[in-house]
This record gives sequence, structure tokens and C-alpha cells, in this order.
Amino acid sequence: MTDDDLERLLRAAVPPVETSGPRSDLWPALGRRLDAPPQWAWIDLGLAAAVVAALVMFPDWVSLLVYHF
Amino acid sequence: MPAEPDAEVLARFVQGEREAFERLFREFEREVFRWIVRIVREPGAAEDVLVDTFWRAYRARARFDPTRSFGAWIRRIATNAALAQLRSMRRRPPWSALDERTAARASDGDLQEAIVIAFQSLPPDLLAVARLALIEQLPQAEIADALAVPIGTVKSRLFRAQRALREALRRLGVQP
Repeated sequence: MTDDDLERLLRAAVPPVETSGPRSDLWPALGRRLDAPPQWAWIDLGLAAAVVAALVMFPDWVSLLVYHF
Repeated sequence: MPAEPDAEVLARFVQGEREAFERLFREFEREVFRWIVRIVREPGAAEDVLVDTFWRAYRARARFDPTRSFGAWIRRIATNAALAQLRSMRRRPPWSALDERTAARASDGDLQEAIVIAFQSLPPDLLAVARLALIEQLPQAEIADALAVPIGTVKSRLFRAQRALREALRRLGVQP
């Protein structure tokens, strides 16, 4: 089977999707998403937990942090 | 894509004006939706991706250069959002994990079913390029622009997609 044969079979099995547009007005959904408060990412939470754990284990670092801020 | 919006509307969008953003949304939503459907192929999922696309665009508005094409920019964002959706909606196992039952069903059934199963098992990056190039028959330059990659990358992904498709068909007991 050549590449052209494969493409022809593929187009017959998976025809292009015909659509005119979204079924409903999506602006309200977008507005709600824009107005939603920002969510914390897992990486942010992980970093915050790591900082707290580090400060508990090495309390001297607090003075170092205070010095830099 | 629709004609490029007024520079004044784009400038207001960059400043975060919601009214200007809604105008851009209304102008571009249909075209962006059609583009997303070409990649994800499920209108329901495409609606979610459309909202995600414009949400990403609004959040990244400060990085938009109003002297460049808004249509090309939003299409790139839509392509990335659609790829993220393809990765998350991937329900079928990768071709390397096609189970014996699936293989038996495809080899007993017709060639079309095997092709559908094999095609859907392609990795998302290859699947997106294959859908746009082979099914929708879009020019490779247009696909490269939407993916923000060189045209050589599109050619290479297309080649890998065809090779992976043949491999998946072989695993399904079809001799491509």
C-alpha cells in the first residue's frame, strides 16, 4: 500500500468534520472564567510547603530572609 | 480568518478593556472554533477549548504585539489549547499497548475500523498534524504557522505519523 493509498483510506474512514460554529453563546462562560479567582497550582503549593518545612527545620534562615527583604 | 481588527480595538484589548475583548471574541469565535474542531474533532470538547483559548489570550494580552496579526496569534493559542485537550482527552491506549481484544476486533472487522483505531492511537502531536494535513488537507506552511514550528518539523511529524500509523495497523493484523 502506497502513502497515497493509505491517505485515501484514511480520508474515507475519518472524513473531515463539518461545523458552522459553537452551539451556544460561549461569551458568558468565558466571562465567568475570567472573573473566577486565580487558582493555586500544585507546584505553587508544593513550593510554599517546601519553604515552610525548610524554615521549621532551619529557623536561622528566617533572619537571612528578613535581611534580604 | 476574519479581516484584521482595528488597531484601536487591539490597543484597548491589550490594555485589558473587556468590551474590546468581547468584540474580538465575537469576530473570531467561529473561525477559531472551526480550527479547533479540525484538531479535536469533537464539537463539545471544541467549545471548552474555545473558551480556554480566549481565556489564555486575555491573560497573555500584554504579550500581544498590536502590529502583528491577531488572527495568527489567536490561532496559535487555539492550536496549543487543542493539543492540551488532545493530551487530556486521550482515552485510548497508545499503539504500543493496543490489547489483543482490540486487535482481534479490528482484524475481524473491516479495514476502515482498523484505520480509525490505529489513527486515534497516534501520539497527540502527530495526530494533530496528521488530522490537519491528511484529513483536512491544509497546506503544510499553514500548519507550521499555527504550530509556531518550522515547516521541516511539520514534514517530519507527518512522516512519523504515517510510519506510526502503519506500525499500529500491523499490530492490528492489517498489512498496510
